[in-house]
Order: sequence, then C-alpha cells, then structure tokens
Amino acid sequence: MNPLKKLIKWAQRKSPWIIHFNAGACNGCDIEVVDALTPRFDLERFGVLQKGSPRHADVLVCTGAVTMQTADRLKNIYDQMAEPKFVVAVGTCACSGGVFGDCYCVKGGIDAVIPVSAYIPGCAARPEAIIDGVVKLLSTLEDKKLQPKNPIVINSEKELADMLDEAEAAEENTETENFEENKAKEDNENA
Amino acid sequence: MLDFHTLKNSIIERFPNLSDEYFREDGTRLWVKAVLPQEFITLFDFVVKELRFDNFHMTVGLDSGDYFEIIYLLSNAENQMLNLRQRTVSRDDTFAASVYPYFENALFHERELIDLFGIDVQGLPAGHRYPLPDKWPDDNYPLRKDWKTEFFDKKTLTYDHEAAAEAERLRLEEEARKKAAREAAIAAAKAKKAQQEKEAQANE
Repeated sequence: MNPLKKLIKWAQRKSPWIIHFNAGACNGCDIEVVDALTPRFDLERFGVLQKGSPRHADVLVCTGAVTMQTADRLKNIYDQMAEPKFVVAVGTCACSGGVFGDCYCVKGGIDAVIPVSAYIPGCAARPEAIIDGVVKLLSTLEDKKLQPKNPIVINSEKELADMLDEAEAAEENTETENFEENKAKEDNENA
Repeated sequence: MLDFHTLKNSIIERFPNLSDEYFREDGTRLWVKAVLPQEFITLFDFVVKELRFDNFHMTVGLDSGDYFEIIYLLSNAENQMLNLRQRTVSRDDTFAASVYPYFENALFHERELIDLFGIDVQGLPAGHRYPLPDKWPDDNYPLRKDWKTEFFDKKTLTYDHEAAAEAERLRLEEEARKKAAREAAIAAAKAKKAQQEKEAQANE
C-alpha cells in the first residue's frame, strides 16, 4: 500500500475527528451525542475529538430527519469534508425519518441526501450504542478498504437487553453463593 | 385585583356591540369570541393599555371552516388570563391586523400565521419568511384543514388538486352512505319495537 495512504489510515483509526450536525432533530439524540463525548462515557479515550469545522473532520455524526431546508446545508457540509469521509446516522429519525417521515417538509433519513456508513437506531440512541457504532466503524478500517463495504447497523435495544439479562443472571449467582457461604459459616459457628 | 365580571362589564361599556354572550369564564381565564380586524385592534389597544393586560404569551391559529381565527393569549400582573380572538372575513379575504406595534415578540408568531395558514397579517416589518423552507411553493398552507400531506409531492413541490378533490368527493359520498345506513337501521329498529308492542297488546 501507498505509505501516505497507510499513514492516513493509521491516523484515522487512532484519532478520528468528528463533526456533529443536527439536521432537524428534537435535541434528544444531540444530548446523547454530547453525553457520549464528555467524561461520563468518554469517546475521547478512543481519540475521538469534536471539531468545529467540517474541513478538519473525518466522521460526520448526523442526528434527526432531514428537512427540505437542511438538505442543501447537509450536502454542503458533506462536500466540504476531505476524503476519505464517513457518515454516522444517530437515532431512528436519522436512519429512516422516524415519526417525522411523513411530515410535509421532511425528506426522510440522512441516506435520502448523502451515503451513510453506520446506522445507530434508538429513540434516543444510547451513548453505549453510539460508542459501539463508532468503534465498529473504526474496526472495519483495519481491513484493506478505506470505506466499509456494507453499512453497519447497531441493534442497540436487543444487545442491551441481552447484556442486562446476563448482568441479572450474574447478580443472582453471586447472591446465592454468598447466601450459601454465610449459611456454612453459621453452621460452623453453631457446631 | 379586578374580577372577571368587572373586567367584562368595563369592556362591554366601551364596546356596546359586544354583548354578554361574547364572553365565557373558565377558571382563571376569560374568553372573548372572535371579532373582525378593524374592531379587534381598538379592543386590543383598550385591553393592553387601559386594562393592563401587558404580558403577551402566544398566538394560536385556527381554521374554522368558513374563516380563520387567531387567538391571542394575554395575562396581567395578577396572573389572570385573557384570550382575545381576531377573525378574518372569509377564507379568501384573509386580512388580519398585526399586534407587532404593541408586542415585538409577536413577530415570529405572526410570520408563522402567514406561512402556515396563509393569513394576510398586515403591519409587519420586512424580512425573511418563517418557518417553511425557502423553496416552498406559494398557495400551499400546510396547517389548513383542506391541505393534505398525501397529495403534496415532496420531489416536485406540487400539490395534486384533482386527486384531493376526488378524495374529498369520495369521503363525502361515503359519509352520506353511512348516514343513510344508520338512519335506515334506526327506522327498522323503531318499526320492530312498535310491532312487538302491538303484538304484546294483542296478546293481552
């Protein structure tokens, strides 16, 4: 591979800079994006930095359904970004238009205007799902391609439900173990 | 603090053609029925400057079928609410007076009325349209009752008037058919009941 391309890929994988654009969201997903970036969830530990200018950014994080008024602006911002560039659609509205899809001034999801690399559904999308989406997007870059072949879809609700089930099962196990240990101790003392 | 009864009487004293039935009290709120623009602006002036209802909250646009209404929500220092209404002459003659000279925060509310209802609010300063997109076609007012999203083509930005008229005709036909069926069912039930009563009387 061209050494320059190699360097770009290394830099992108180690420190992707993002720009966040609200295409007509209710601000729910924006709050979650900010939550994911700030120290509680801390996307910055993966080298993700939010930038003010699309010219400095590698990943365009979009929230909300695209309205007729923002469609041209979104296209403009996408065109200003340097290649190679990725688009992450955060939230159900950004993926498909959501409940606003049939509204008189709404064009649909982000993919009605620009190509999308990763879809993160959820209303609002959880910070864990956003982090998962960004990390999965970065891991696809380890392949020889600069763009992922198929768009990534994070099934956050199902994965989260599985995680919660596992956590609950683990908790129950520890509780029963502790109970048995305590009982054994008491028996010993009594004896 | 004046109670609503006194307020009502002072308004009626000043505007004799507003009778008692123009007013309705609802807890902490006094409702006034819709008046035409020329009279409305003097009423508004009186209410704001002399009755001291000097908090302007918002406007509500209303499609009443034959004409449009604008509801103005005002309150005073004692937390009393007053809902004034202005109405246009008809669906075609949509002139309405602006309250921008009294409250500058009415600017965006009235721009919305212009864009979404097509009410011709006069007296606003020059400026951009708000809140519809720049490319939005004229004579399409999305919050009017007779404007349906399904007949609006978002790609070409045109409204299919023929399909809308056809759908409206079908809807009216269906409604008439259902009404006729309901009336027939009620008549049949009545006839059955009458006959049963007759039979019961005959048996006795």
